[in-house]
Amino acid sequence: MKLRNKINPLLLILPLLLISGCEERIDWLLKPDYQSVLVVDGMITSEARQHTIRLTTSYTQLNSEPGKASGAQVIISDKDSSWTLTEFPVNSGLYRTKPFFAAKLNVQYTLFISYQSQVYSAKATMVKGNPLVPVHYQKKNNGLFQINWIANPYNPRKPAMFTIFLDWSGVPGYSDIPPDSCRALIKAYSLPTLDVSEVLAPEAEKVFFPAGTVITELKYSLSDEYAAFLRAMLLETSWSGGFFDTAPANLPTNLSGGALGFFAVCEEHSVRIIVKP
Amino acid sequence: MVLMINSAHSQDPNQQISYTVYQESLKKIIRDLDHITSYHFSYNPKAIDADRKLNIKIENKSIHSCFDIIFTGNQIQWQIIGKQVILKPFKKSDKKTVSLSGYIRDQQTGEVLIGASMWFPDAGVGTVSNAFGFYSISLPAAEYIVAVSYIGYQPTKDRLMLFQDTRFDYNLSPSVLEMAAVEIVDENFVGSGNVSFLGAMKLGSKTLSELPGFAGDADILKALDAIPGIANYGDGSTLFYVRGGGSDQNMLLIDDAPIYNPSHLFGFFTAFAPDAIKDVEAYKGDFPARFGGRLSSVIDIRTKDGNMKRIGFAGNLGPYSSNVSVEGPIVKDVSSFYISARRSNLNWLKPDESLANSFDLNFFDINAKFNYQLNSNNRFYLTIYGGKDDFSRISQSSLKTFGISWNNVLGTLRWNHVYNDKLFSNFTVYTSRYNYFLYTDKELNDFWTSSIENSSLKSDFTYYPFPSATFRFGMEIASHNIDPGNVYFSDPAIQKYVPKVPEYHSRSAAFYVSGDQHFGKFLRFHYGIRLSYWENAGNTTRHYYDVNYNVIGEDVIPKGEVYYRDLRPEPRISLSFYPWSGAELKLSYNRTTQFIQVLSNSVSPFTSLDVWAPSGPNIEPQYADQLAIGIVRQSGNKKWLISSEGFLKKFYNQIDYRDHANMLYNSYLEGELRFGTAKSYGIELMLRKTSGRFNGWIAYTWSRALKTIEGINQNQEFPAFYDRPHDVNINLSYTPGHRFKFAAAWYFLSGGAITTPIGFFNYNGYVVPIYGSKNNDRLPDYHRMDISAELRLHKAGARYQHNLVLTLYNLYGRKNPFSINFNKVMGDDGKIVIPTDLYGGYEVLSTQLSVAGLIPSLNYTFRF
Repeated sequence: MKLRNKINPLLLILPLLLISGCEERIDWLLKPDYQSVLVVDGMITSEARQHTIRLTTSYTQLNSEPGKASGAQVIISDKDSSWTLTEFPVNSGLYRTKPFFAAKLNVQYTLFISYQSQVYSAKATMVKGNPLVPVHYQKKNNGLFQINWIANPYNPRKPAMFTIFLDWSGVPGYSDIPPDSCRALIKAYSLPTLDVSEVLAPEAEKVFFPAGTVITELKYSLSDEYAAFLRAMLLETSWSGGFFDTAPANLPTNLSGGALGFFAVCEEHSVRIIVKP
Repeated sequence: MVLMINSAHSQDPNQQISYTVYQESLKKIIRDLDHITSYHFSYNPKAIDADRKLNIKIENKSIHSCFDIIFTGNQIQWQIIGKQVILKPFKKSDKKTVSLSGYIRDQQTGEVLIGASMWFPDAGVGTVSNAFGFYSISLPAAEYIVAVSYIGYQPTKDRLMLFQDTRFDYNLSPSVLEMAAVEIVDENFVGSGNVSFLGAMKLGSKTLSELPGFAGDADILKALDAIPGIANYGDGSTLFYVRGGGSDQNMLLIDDAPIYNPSHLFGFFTAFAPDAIKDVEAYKGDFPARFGGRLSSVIDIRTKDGNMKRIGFAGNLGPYSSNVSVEGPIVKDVSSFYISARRSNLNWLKPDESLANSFDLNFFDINAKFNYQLNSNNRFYLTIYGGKDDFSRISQSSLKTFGISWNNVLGTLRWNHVYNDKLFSNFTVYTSRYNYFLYTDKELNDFWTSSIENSSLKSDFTYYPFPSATFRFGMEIASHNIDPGNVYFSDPAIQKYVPKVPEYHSRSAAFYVSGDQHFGKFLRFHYGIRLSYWENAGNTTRHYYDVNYNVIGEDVIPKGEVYYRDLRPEPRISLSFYPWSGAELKLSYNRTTQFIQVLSNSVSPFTSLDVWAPSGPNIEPQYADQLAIGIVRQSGNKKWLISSEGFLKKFYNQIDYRDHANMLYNSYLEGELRFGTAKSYGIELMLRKTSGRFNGWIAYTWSRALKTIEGINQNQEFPAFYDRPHDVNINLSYTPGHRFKFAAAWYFLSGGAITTPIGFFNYNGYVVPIYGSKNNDRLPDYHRMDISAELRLHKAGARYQHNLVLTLYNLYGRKNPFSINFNKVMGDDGKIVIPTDLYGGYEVLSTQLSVAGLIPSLNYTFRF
């Protein structure tokens, strides 16, 4: 059971302010005129582990499953070493480094992909981040908890991405529910830029969780280039569709050869918290 | 038949004489005068046709006035030598030209009337009163019939002996039926060459009050949408686009001072209380040379001066906002004041009681004007305007608090001076400031702010040297200070790392001269040139960019040091041809230059962020060339007016933005800009019924607005987001009698150009759109009907006038979307929201966002 609830959102007032504004579902006939291309969703971090690169393909119909770019040759290298990634599970489009390794500060890493006779590459460097300050959560009127602070959304010097994984599948009372219904993944960002559509972003769903939930928070440092990519992505996703949108545009990329997505190298910090009653 | 009422022999020039003849010869009239007066008349019968028949009607005039009427009025000079009156024909060079000048006013209030028409049917010439109600016309000395008219006022028609320079003020009475647009123009005025109905449109307060308006208020900016060639963005927006130009290419002036954000509540309400407005003139092409600084339009708004005769009160009480005004004489017929104030009543719209104290949701504006008439040649006006919006979440009950606030303040001091009957001047000093605040955390007082301020001194002269010509000339100097946006954090640990975005300091000057000349009855030539000068100076930081817009250096410019200068000539020419009475054919060309612009990549219909920036080393001044040709024709019964106008416009140094440009807070703002050209073309048609109880207009515009920007859309041409090819509007008004007034308006616009995805990809849990060509798609067509009904609760002529006004905005509740989105999910409770939980993926919906369904409003208005 997902403990989501659509409480009065931050900007509930805005539609009311605009007197009788409304948003409704429509059938919109898109004009696809596009050949599917390779999409790279890849990050290696300062943590010593098997790092994963996800290769998919783009699609033209909304809510289609992205194609799995299987059978690619994927290599990550720096000036001294290289790591060949293998697809696992087979035909999944997920490519893992075989040995554990940790990315190092100020070292440039190159991602090399050969897929369907095309060659793609990207370069990225890890920058120093700040230590992680754990999330704040608060008990709400419904007896459940809600995260009420992750980070300042504006940070001119040390931009960061936060991944908060919530798991209450082990909490008494929830053990009979399928585990996937008792997990949530929230992402947040602290960027060196400010945008009106960020400050006045559209209404977003709220996620509630019970006492005993295990919160695993990861913080990733962002290079300027990756921060710019993520800002653009947010402008096209979470910050889009409000009353103060900016002109839409394609995301930048650090990949050559016409691929989409981004290859990033980030310093990682993590913390694990158990929500106290 | 000859009637001689006063037959006393007299040489006393003050002796009153009455004399009437019908179809009598001049010879006989001279004999009569010989008898009535003690003068003897001498003339050469070969030089003067004494057999010609004349009609004369004189009542109680002096002898000299009689001579003027009988002789001078018939092109005969007269001269008294002793007891002799010598008569001889006028030579062309002897023909005396005299001036008639003065003010045209409302008889009841003393308020000057702008654009009132004066017409001399005998001579086939006329003029209109200027922005201060002053008129002047030079004519050959003679007796004339003069007709004076103004929308909503009873026209007058008088006989006037004009044999010497005369100062005369006309006072017009409001129409008894309080009907708007009783008569828009006097007979024969269309095609007279004194008013052009092409390239501009006048909206007097009466005409404005005829339109249904929004939430019970007559709304000037929304009314502009009813003018062909002007397209509003959509519901709840004060952004408008004129002949393919951007919204920041429109200049709004309140009593000569610019206002930078004319909206309340993000654009749902216009920033000026409608009660305070006396007159609006919208120029969309063929700008007079006295106006400059914008490429696409000038909206010249004049506020009320205040009643010179008595104290009066007025108000409008409504569910969303209320305003009251008071006006009256300070010294009767010498000085007066007008003060109006408006405030929002929106707090009842707050969503629930528990949140009621968490939000601020307010706007207000105040308009004050004072005027003082020192004597018949000098008058002073002081205008002060202030307006503020505040929208904020002020207590923390969720992730954060936030807020938006803005304010406009301006003041204008003007001095009208009449040097003589042919030369009028106006001197203006004004200052205007606009501040914008975006609170990222209202509780902590973290905010981003931008501002623009300018102060100016200008002079305008109007010279009426002879009947067929009017010349205008003047100059303006101004200073401009702009903060393009800086952030202030309450936490010093963050603030110390926050970079400073440099401010801009600019100065400008403009000189203009223009002439308006008639060549016979068929041709009018209007010409002018404006020279605009701009310079930027320190204290600031100048950045240098390479061809790829990367910063390659910077200079710190000390205070006062000029680092950029530009001078641009702006020629304006129009030629009007009047093939027959009631028709005008006009061809015009004008160039306009703009040195200051809004930098925003927003596609929102709402005023969300204002970053102003001047032209400089990295931003070439925008300029545009416009060619227009039009024809207007008035029907034989003077009730109908039909006009058609085509235009072709080319814009240079147009600004667009790199993908996902960072415009809010960026030291290198200019590096986010991309430049190119734009073009627009179209045809505007209008059929207007100008008088009667049932009046209004139908307008249709077909136009295109296309841009070509280097680095955008692969350098290929694309439609601007305000490209709306078809624009129809119908405005009808019906006043069946004293009690009721009805109005209806229907608007249709092609959907604006938007960019929709041609594909998607998944990254980091998000569904990300992929775009093809820019603005490849269109929103659904926009249409809306508004109606209003006004019930007058008072008897005709009552001192206390009060009405109930019912307005239904968007009568049939059309949901006109302003954005189409592909990034939201359906929540468990049926709400459409942005997904926060990215675990396991989600199904994205196609959604549309619209504002303003049916908005009813019942207002009570009063005046006494």
